[in-house]
Amino acid sequence: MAEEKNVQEIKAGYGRGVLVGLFVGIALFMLTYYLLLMAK
Amino acid sequence: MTKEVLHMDNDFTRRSFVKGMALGTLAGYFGAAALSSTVFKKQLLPEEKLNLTDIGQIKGLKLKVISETSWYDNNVFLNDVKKAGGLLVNQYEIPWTREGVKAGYQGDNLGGFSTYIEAELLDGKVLKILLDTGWNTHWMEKRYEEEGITKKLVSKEIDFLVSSHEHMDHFFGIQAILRHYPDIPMYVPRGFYQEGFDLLKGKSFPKANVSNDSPHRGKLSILDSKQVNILYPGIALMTFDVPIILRVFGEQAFVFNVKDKGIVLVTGCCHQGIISYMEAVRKSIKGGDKIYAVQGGLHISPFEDWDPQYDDLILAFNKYSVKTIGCNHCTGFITAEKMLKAGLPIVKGTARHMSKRDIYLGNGDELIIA
Repeated sequence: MAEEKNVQEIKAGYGRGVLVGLFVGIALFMLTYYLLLMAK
Repeated sequence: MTKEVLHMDNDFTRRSFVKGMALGTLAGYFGAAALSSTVFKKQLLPEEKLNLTDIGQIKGLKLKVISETSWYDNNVFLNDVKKAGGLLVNQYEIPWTREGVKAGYQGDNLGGFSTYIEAELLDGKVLKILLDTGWNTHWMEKRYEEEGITKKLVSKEIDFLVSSHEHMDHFFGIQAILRHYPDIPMYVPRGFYQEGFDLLKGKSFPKANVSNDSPHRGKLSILDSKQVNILYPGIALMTFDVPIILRVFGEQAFVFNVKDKGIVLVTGCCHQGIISYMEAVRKSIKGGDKIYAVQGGLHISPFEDWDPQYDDLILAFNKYSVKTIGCNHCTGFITAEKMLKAGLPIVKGTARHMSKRDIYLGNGDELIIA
């Protein structure tokens, strides 16, 4: 029971990580794009 | 024991969160880049299929501005248009002001646009071409005389006349040419109205104060936009189906391909838009991706007003890496100043013969490409 709960928590943590990462990744891309555009 | 398990659980969750975030960040970054067509454009979009025409080459080119001053007082001109009913009114129905203008030529607000071109072919033959005929006959005759064009017309040395479009300042001065050379071969873009052909035949339009006492008797060719119109090796005209203010339709402009230099664009007013023009050349003419020079009216801020979108237009110029820009006429002084400030290669003139500022390639100024 405790093990199952553990697996669920790991999955939930992973999912949250992916979601936050997606936002961070898009923001990073937008930042580099803007910087490149400014440097042109 | 319970505390230890709890600690281990948090650790696992944190570790999996970091792992997930690393994956998400990579996916987000490259996903956004992939979706943004400007970054992976080359990899993701199919290659543009272009049907390029080889127009051949010429050895050299000499461009002389006969007159780029179409009218002398913007307010008087705009007032004439306003009083007649606005920018969509037929130009043959507008009573244009011809007297009492302080800034004008002998009090006349009207001037005109005309460029003289000498193109040296690869075999050494030099073609002499006139682009447009101006507006005010008195002014145009004076300018043609001063630049030695009248003599060339009388001796039929001019090979042909090209009318960029039907606008009054580019066409109404036709009798200044036909008086000396009524047989001159002529090219007009498809879209000329009946009034235009009637004026060529000698009809007068008293309301607009325009007349022609020397009917055209030479060959008249009407060019359309379906293909690149090659006139001689290295010399072509591109015609654009474009509706223009004061009830005019269609405009054409020159494309020269100068050996060892590249493509040179020579325009009248460029109502088709300078970027559209350069894009059309890139997409349809071999070597059109590298434009060496642009000369003539660029029609960006003719009435010296500025819209922020014009800034993008100036930025877009960089894409074509043009080496020489000899702008004048309807380009707008603000545009020329901004282009200069943006580092674009503007060729300055001498501000003579009633051209107002040296930021334009003005009346009597030359641009030689050889």
